Amino acid sequence: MTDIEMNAALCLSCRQLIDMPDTDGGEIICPVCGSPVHQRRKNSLQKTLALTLTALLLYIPANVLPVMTIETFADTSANTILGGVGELFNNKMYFIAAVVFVASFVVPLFKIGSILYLLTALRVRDKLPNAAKTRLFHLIELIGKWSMLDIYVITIMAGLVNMGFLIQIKGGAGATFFAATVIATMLASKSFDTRLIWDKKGEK
Amino acid sequence: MNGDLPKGLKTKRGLFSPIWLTPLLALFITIWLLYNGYVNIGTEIIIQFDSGSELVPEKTPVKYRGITVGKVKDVRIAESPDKVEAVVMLSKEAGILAKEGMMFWIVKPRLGFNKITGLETLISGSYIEVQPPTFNENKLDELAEKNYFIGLSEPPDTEISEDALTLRLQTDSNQYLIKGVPVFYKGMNAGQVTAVKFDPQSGIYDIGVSINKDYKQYVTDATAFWDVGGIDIRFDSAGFSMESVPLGSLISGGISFDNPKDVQGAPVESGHLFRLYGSESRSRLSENIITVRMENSGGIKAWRTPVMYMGIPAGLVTDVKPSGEHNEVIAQLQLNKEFADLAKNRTKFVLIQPSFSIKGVEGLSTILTGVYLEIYPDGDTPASEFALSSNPPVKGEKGGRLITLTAPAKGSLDSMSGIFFRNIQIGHLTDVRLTGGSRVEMDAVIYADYKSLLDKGLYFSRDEGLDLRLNAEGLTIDTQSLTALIKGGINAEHFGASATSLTLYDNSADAQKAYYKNTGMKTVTLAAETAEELTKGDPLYFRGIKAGEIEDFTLNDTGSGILAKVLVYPRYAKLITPFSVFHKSGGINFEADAAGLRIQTPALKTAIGGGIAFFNPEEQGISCDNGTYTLFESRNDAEKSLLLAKKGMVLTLIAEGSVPPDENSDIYYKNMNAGMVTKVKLNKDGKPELTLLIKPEFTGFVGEKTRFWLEGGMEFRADVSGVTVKSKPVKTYIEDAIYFDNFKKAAGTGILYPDPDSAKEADMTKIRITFPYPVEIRNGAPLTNGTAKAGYAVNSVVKDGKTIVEALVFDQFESELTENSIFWAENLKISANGIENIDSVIFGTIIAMKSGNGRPETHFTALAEEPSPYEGRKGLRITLLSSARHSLEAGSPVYYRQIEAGGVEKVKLSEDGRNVEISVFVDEKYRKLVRGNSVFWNSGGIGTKINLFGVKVKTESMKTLITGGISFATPDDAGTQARDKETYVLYADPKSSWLKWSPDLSGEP
Repeated sequence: MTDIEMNAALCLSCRQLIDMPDTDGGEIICPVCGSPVHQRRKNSLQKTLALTLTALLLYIPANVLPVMTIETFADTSANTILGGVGELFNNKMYFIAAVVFVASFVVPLFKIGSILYLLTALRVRDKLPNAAKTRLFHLIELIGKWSMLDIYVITIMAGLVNMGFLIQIKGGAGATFFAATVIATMLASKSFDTRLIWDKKGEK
Repeated sequence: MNGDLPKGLKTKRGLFSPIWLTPLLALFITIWLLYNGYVNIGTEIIIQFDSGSELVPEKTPVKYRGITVGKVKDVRIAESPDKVEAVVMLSKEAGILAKEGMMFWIVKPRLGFNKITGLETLISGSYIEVQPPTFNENKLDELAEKNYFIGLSEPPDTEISEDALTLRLQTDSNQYLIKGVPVFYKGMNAGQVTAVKFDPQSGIYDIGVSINKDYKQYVTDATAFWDVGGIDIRFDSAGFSMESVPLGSLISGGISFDNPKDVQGAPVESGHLFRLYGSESRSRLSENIITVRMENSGGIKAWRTPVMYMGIPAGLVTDVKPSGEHNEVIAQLQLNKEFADLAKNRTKFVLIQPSFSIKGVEGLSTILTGVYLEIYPDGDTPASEFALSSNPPVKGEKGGRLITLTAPAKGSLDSMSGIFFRNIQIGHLTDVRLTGGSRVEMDAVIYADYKSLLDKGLYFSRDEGLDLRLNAEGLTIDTQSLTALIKGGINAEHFGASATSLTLYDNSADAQKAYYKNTGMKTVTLAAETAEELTKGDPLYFRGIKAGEIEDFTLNDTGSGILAKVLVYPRYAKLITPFSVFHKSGGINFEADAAGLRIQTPALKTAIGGGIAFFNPEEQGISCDNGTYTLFESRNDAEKSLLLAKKGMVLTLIAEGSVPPDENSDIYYKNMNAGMVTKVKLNKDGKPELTLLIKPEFTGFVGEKTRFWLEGGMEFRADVSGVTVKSKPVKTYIEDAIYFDNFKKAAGTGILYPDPDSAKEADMTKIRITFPYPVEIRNGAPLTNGTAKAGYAVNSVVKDGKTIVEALVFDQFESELTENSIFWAENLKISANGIENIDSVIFGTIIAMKSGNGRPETHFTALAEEPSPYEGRKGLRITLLSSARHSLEAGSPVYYRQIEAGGVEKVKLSEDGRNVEISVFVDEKYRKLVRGNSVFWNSGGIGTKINLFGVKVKTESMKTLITGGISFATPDDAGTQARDKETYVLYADPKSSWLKWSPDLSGEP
């Protein structure tokens, strides 16, 4: 039996279990402490969806704009994420190419896709059991922070490799967008209320 | 259960969460970025290249003046398979570059004509450079847009523009020129060849060049263009030279242009036609062709043999060919433009080739570098046909003066033989020919610079080979310059007067004689006993300068002598006066006089060969007899005669006891030459008698008191005053001389004293001193009066235990010799007061005297012993009795309160031998200190006193330490005044109470 089934809600401020009246679209506040009370996280669905869409939109310039610029005395080369992966791959550094590709390209995409799937699955019937969805969500949360690997690398490189005229590495606009993308996905996963998964009736 | 729970309160809530703003923001950013990217997308153009090897898609940039304006997107094969196409995305702002006529080329490392470009692409990789056909903004706008271009394989010449000057050059030989070859101006890249055309019919190349606008101004219609391809290695008269054009054109060839130095050309328009010369030297040649006829080519070569002007390349032989009749060679040559006017009607061309002549080796450099033609310009109208000259004109020949010399024979003289003046060539012979008669005529030119010498007067003589003459002047070997030695030459001499003779004499002496004959010469006749030592031609000297020569000797009328005829050179003729004195000057003249020693030879050759000389004495003593002069044997003779001729004083001296001097010995008065000994002979008594001649100016010094003495050599004397070396005139070292001086007394005249001392002694007073005991007094032992030397002993005889000494006393001491004067013998005395009688070290015992008063006396008896030091002084004289001498001696001081009051006069043993008697003298002013009860004690030596307080060393004075001394004291109750010869006891030591006495002794007792 869930709290919704009981038509009750817990005030997260004062731990008072509250009987939820019919809301009629309005807000419920705790009669004890006056804090807003929700059965589920407030606007979880909306927030998650909005942040995921934000991440998806920011993902575009993050991949189109160069993340890193290498300036030598002879020439200047700007690399996008995929361009850098391709260069690593061309240079036969397959493992690193794979790592960068996964961490910087696949993982954010996977996160965005996963969250969108979870959100869709709340409305649409699907075959994946709720427990699996919950595990999927935890996986998203876990790997989310690793997507910042690229940003770390760029930051360190830009800091270390600065020999003025000879060679200089600078972070590009793409890196900013990439970081924004990752932050957006992390915030999205934070906003998601896993209890919603289980609110679908008749599913275990 | 729910009822238990508190019921939630309702509140209003918004429809949308503000979280939706974030995707909106993201959407906006993304859309803006995409739009921006679309809007800024540039122009895509396609450029066709021959090869795409340097092009990297997405990498190779397109640069315009160093700024990246695009990037190669893709490289693909063009429609025609031998080309590639590069798809280039130009950035938006570079879209204007997509215009017709735009030039694209790939920049890569490239070795250019004169530079290396594109080095930076070695690192950065190649890039595509773009350049618009014009930089004019308006023109650029007018160009049609285009996006397909044909890339250039080479970078365009960046300097080319419509501002460049295009010119046409024509040449008949093209060596390397192709399109793109650079054009240089003074080594600077000033343009390039734009086109090369060849017309097979005319065989002329038509070359188009473009001169950059920066160099346009240097091209005028006088500009010369020449080909500079390759390396120009030359080995010519100027030495080895290697000219290389800039490295780039060493490979590619090139064209250089320059302007003649002093020609101001007019500016030219584009399309002007120039001639292209094969080399720089050819470009300088003038168009005028000069022909030179030669007997044979002599090794000259067309285009190789230079024409030099004063050693400067001035032209080139352009053609060498035989003449129409094949009897000559015609050389064509072209002079450089700046030298074109050298070819005048009298210009000479001389072929310079190695020649070995008497003058030396000439043109040696041409062995290495090849022959060349030297041009000697002369004349005033231009000419173009010449015949080769064999000799170069001599410097100065132009404007020289022509003369004709006559000579009896040609000798080794020939055309070109030099005429030398002081070994400087002043001219040369131009022609030698035989005249109708038997004489040879020689044409000569005296160079312009030396023409004036002719006006001054020149005599010419043959100057050939070695002139070896043995005559009165000795052996003469004359050689002139080596050239003259072999080739012969003419010596020109200037003897003084402005007379010139055009006869060529056989030698310089002849010429000189002729000159003298021509100009008139003074003849002097000299009379001498013999002509010995003299020969004809012997020189006549005046102050060492040859002023003439002996011409001839003749016997005089009686045969008792000879007459020498002497020629005096005109220049010196006026030196001969009626009072001139002539003498033989041969041999070495050894002369020593007051001025020192002199070895005189007028000239070395007269030392051997002899000669005569003359001088003009200050005082005219001897005059010539009707033009005939006496020739003296020597200058001394001459001077002596002069002296004799003067009114001097003649004296006669008898030299007794002295070696008489030679005749001619000098006489000195105060070291000045005052005359001479004219004659030495024995008089009737068998004594040498000297006749003296005193110079007139000294006769006033000869009188009654004058004494003459003989002096010679150095006088060395050592006495108390040290060692004296008295030097007389140097001559007296060798020769005795007679001195004279005046003394106080007249000691009789007519005597020659043998030495200066004996002369002086005549003045001194002779005394006799008898010593009552034998003593050795040496001759010369001084006689002292106090410290002054009053005389010396001259004789000493010991007889009967007595010594009789004769002494001479200087006249200033004569007055001291009185009957009361005392004499005694004195020896060296060393005392505390110093060393006395140092004379006695040398002379042994000396004689001391003390003057007294009374009548003058000359015979004295000396004291047996030295007188007391207080002898004769006024004072108290007492006697002290002592048991011992206490080192007292005469002179030991006597002290009162340590003030010297007197001294010991004498110390002797008493007659009974029990005491020592000490005679003491107390000065008169201290007399009153000595009273009847005064006590005396010995204060000499060191007084040592040993008591409780240690050892006390005491001495009265330093003097008493050595000589001893006596002190005395008088008690407070002073007694009566002591009287002379009173006797006191001398105590060995004082009592301490004595020292405390202090009587008042002021008053009379």
